[in-house]
Amino acid sequence: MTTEYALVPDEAPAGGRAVVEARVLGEVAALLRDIIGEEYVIDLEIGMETSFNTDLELESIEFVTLADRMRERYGDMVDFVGFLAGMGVDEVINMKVGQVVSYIADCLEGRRARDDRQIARPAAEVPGALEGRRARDDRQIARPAAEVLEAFTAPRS
Amino acid sequence: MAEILANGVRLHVQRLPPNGGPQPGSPVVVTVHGMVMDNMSSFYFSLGNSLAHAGADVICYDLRGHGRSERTPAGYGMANSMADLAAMLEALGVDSPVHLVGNSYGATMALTYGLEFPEQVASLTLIEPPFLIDGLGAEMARSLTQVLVGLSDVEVEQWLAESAGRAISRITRSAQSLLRDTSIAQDMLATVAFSPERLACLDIPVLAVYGGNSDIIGQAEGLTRLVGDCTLVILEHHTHAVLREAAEYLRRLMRWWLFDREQSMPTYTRGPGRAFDTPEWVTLMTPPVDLNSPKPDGTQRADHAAADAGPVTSA
Repeated sequence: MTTEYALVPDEAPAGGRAVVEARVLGEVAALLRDIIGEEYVIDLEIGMETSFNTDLELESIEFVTLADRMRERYGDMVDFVGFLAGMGVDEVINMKVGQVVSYIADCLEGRRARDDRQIARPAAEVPGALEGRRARDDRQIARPAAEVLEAFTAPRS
Repeated sequence: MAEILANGVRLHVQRLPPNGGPQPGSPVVVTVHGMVMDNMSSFYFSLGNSLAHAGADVICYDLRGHGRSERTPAGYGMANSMADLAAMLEALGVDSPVHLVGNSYGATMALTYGLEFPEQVASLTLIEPPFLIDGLGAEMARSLTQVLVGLSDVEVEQWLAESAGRAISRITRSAQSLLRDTSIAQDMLATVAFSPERLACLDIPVLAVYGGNSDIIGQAEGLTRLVGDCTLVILEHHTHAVLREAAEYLRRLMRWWLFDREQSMPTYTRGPGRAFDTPEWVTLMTPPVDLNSPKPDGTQRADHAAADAGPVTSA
């Protein structure tokens, strides 16, 4: 949506990293103030060390809104899905604002190219991925539900 | 925020496109969260982004009255929930069968949707579904009682007023309002039990996940006995909140379920010290005659339970 940071990887933004982070921090802070409500954060300076949980007391649904607004702001330049893919609710909420800002700055500076990301693909599409696994005879297989229940309810020492 | 008008209700929807863009055959995953003290964020963070990153087209939405969706005064019964979901999928232009993933009462909704619209469902993942052939409404009453007790105690009120903090206070106040100002309690009490005959005809693969320490683990047996194509996973040392407790494993399990089912199911390894128990007061809870009465008998330990189980409970 926004092309302000539409940089190719070998183009450094004017002013360097610190300037980019400062601009992103300002933008993220503005989004947060809008989502949380100015009256709550009026006396709170939002900085890199500000915690979403302990400082801002952000609800998890508010973090969904923040992610949505950041996607609108930065478009395909920043892969928020990839960023959040490995985190749980608690990890997300316990992040500091600086972690999000640094990630966005990395993306904008081209330090995190989309092609560099690890992409989980069906094993069948990965050459050779299945050969070793199929050779194993001790693998856990999906068992019928009745067997699972029987195993679960059987007396255990 | 994406809002969609579905069945006359404004629903908050977040669609996470598959990594690399939509591809022919990308599985469409639709998540259905639990009731009252829950919203789409539980799925959005636990599974949504991960499955989109793995190649699924993920749709998370807030049920009516929850999260950022419109809070209507009435219309929380199963029939309206089914109509909301069907209308949302139509509004989004989804015309291929979807993989429904539900948690708690959201799983009950998902199963009902699979029975009502089998041609629209590719698979069902049911995480801790309340499942009874008789007395499902009473089971819902028991779950709501747990929530009500957690929200209605005088000491909870004092805690909210003095020290609960912004996020917890907002979540709790919202749930109180939902229970007090809408017909959700009556609507959930009217939940009709599943028909064994209809379940026997269900021709959709089902993945059911329960916590071994869940207060409703006993209901897994009936589900697996009556649903033909059912893969059951029981995670020992986990409770009704298994979606949150074991999110990392469930991410792997869902990737296997969607993309790699011919291979072996991922093995669960519990981390050190990661054991969860359902508090006794939850197991012993009996529903009050009137769900709007905030002080049922035998609930004096609600304040302790809130501390043990955390303030967030979903049904």
